[in-house]
Amino acid sequence: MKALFVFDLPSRRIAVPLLCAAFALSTSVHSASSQALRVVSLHGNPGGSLHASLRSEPRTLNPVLAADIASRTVTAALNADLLHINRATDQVEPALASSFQVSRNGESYTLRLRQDVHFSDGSPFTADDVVFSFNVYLDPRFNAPQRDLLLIDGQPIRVTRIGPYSVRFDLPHPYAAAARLFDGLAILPRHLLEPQLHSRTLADLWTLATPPAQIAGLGPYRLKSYTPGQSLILERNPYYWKQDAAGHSLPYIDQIDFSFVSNQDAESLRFAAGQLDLLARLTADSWASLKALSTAQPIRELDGGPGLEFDLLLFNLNAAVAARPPQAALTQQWFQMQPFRQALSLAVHRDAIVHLVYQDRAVALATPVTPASRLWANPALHPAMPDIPQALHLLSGAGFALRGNALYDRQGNRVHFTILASSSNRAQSGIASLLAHDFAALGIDAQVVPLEFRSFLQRITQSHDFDTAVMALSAGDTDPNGNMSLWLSNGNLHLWNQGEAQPATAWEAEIDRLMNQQLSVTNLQQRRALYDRVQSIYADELPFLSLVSPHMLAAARASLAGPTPTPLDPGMLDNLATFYWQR
Amino acid sequence: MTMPRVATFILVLYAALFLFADFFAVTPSDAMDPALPYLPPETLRFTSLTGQFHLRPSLARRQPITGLFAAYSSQQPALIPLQFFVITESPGDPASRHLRFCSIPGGVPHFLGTDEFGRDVWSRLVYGGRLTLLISLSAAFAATLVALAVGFLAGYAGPLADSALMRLVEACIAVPWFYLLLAIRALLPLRTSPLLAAAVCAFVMAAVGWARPARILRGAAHSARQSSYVSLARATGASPWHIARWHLLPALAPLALTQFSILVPQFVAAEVALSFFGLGISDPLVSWGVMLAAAQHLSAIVQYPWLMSPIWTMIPLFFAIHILADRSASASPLTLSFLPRHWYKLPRQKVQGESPVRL
Repeated sequence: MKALFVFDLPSRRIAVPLLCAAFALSTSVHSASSQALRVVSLHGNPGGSLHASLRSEPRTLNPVLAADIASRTVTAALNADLLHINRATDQVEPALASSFQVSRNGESYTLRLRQDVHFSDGSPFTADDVVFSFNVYLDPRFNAPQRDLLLIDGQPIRVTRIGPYSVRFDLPHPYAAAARLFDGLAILPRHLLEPQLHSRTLADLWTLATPPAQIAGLGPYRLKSYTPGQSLILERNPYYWKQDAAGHSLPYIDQIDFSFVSNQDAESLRFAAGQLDLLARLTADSWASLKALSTAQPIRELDGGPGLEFDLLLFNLNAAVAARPPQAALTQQWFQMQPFRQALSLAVHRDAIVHLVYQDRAVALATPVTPASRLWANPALHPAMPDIPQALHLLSGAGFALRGNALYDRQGNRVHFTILASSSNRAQSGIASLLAHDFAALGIDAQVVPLEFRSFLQRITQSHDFDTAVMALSAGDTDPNGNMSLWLSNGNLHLWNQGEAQPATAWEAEIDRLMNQQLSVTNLQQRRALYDRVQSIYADELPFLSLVSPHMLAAARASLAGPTPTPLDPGMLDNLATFYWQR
Repeated sequence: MTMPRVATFILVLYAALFLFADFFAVTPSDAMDPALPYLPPETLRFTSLTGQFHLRPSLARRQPITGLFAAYSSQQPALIPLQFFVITESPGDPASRHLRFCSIPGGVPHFLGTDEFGRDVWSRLVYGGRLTLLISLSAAFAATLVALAVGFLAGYAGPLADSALMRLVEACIAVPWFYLLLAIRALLPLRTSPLLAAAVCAFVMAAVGWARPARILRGAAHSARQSSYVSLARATGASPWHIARWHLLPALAPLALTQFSILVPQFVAAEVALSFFGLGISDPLVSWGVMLAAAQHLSAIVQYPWLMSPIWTMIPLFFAIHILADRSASASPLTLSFLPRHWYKLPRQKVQGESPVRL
């Protein structure tokens, strides 16, 4: 199990206390190059099948209810969205909608839908399906996880059918990056689901027991069969609406076989033995052994560069922790000092973490905004280089003194604290060991405490009984809105000081203000300036140390063209329709 | 050489290794060398590059290839002459100053290679073995002692004590240890001294480990109590204490010894599990359990097999413990038969000498 939080699940969900400032906004029109369905400039070879794996069995085939990774991976292949974020450029592009138009005040989105598109059972796709789908997502009775995503300031987005191929979405307030909300929201077939919803609940629809003929979607694949405990097989959707440059219908590959392999080592062995064509998630150290094992067929490593996930050292800045012993109050007093946190940052060899823990497949970080958010990382901030003299200078300025090999505070207490790490996570335990080693250079006695994951989590989020902790977080989106719950002082991932009724410090209040302001600004440059400021404040205050961001690694047969790891769901399988086997 | 002698020799060798760990290890167990991660074991050579023989062995050090992770050049290793009986000290760590049996100028020889952070596997093996054996032997000793006492009482003291003690054993086996361990961890302070950590580790193992041997020993005590020689002794007026000491205990001792030798390897493995709860040994301390836990992944098996060295070290050790336990159990109970004969007296002779007098 990986100690990994996603800021908001499902991804791109946004916790929104919105400011109601109304800005006059320019109208913008985004459209595909032409109305034609010929959307992919690619020449691949049709045919063949692909063997992939899932870590667990999917819990449902219903895209509205899919919350676990396996269900989301499968439903992503079965369904399509109106607008889609291009994973390569991080821009919103038309998908089932052929174009979209934003009103002058930024509150209304008009989408023109593609005509002559069919569901995988052959029935046509119209605006009625879109209105039906959004009603399902927004109906409080169905409790869809995506509902929160479509609430802005507590009010739902309104959906109106304008014509058979045109829909309008009205937002209660202008909302930056509203177009990104559509990504991943599957459009459901009204003709199949609406009659059943009168008599049954949503949770009963499209379970794993549903016959494949009763399930239809707009995605590149449709369900062929499901064998409990063994496999789930998808077949090519003959009605899929995308074509390649030569006019061939996508997808290229006829069949996708998902087998269920619960263990990473077992997955690697099956991949090496040729039973799997694709390994969706790979750790840095397993690549070399994979290569040594797969002697039969050539494989290639897919390095997608840094993703949205990053490792951090969290300081316990929680105001009052009743359950803690007196020594802990002392420790927390040190962490409250900004120069102390800055000095710790200057002691960390981030390059050593990159090299030793991730075998050079990671990047050092200055802020939690990883390079995957390419538009948003503040270019003026750089990861701190280790500088022990400067760190000691900062410490002596704050009243600490180095005597012999030991650091003492103003009252003469020896500086020591514990670093929690999840014992099941090798990378994080390794980082904790390296950090303890680095802090020893400042005369600090840091002790690594490995804990079982649930107790680890309980201490960080519930009892707040810890000094520092190494953990991983992952933003929900490349857009700043995917980081709201981390930045806002009342956010549920504001882990260094949870549950603040009021911002505890002036700089946290300032971050709250800037983050809320950027929500409603739709001008990119203005938003960037606001977010740059948030990152500068963070880099100065360092409520936690952003350490490194590991690369997104995957492996595939050398002859399989198409897969590229991407930070957003469903990762590498996002462009599954364009995968093909090279001859 | 007979098997027990081989086993004795192995035990003495390990005991020396662990007693003088500071001498046999070449560096502190937590000394990192970020420049040499996953360095394969280094070989010794008695010849120079030109082929001349030297009595002083040299270490063949392969150079890391720049730009690659854990890749070492296979051509022309640098030959560094070994120095013996050197006082070394890691930079900035006066506590690491020790007389080491061997060293190289300006560095550390890695006879068993290094781990992911460039820590010397040989030194970790030596220091880790010391801690592991200290914990698992003391825990196994305590568990066997408790098991022997409980099993003996239950089997001998009568039906009331028997059922009371056996319900206790069953309760102990039925306890959901997963949650209990979580609770113990929650009760302890996060920051624990190494001594406390080791003591907690041994205590938890003994607390979990005594119940099953106790059941087995109780069965043996029960059947011994009903045996004809005990009936005979009782009939001749032997006191309960006499029967317990000279008839029951000798019958139980071989079994207890066997249980002990089974518990030791179990506890070494259990330590890996305890580390998972944060109750075991953690950095900067090292144990075999910690080393094995770090080697529990595919790449360790495929690429860095030297990380498995605790396993190869354990096999002869457990073999020796088993042989000796077996031998002492079958030869004469409660004796150390691997010692020279005149070092001990056989209690059995005493028993034989005493019984006729009472008759």
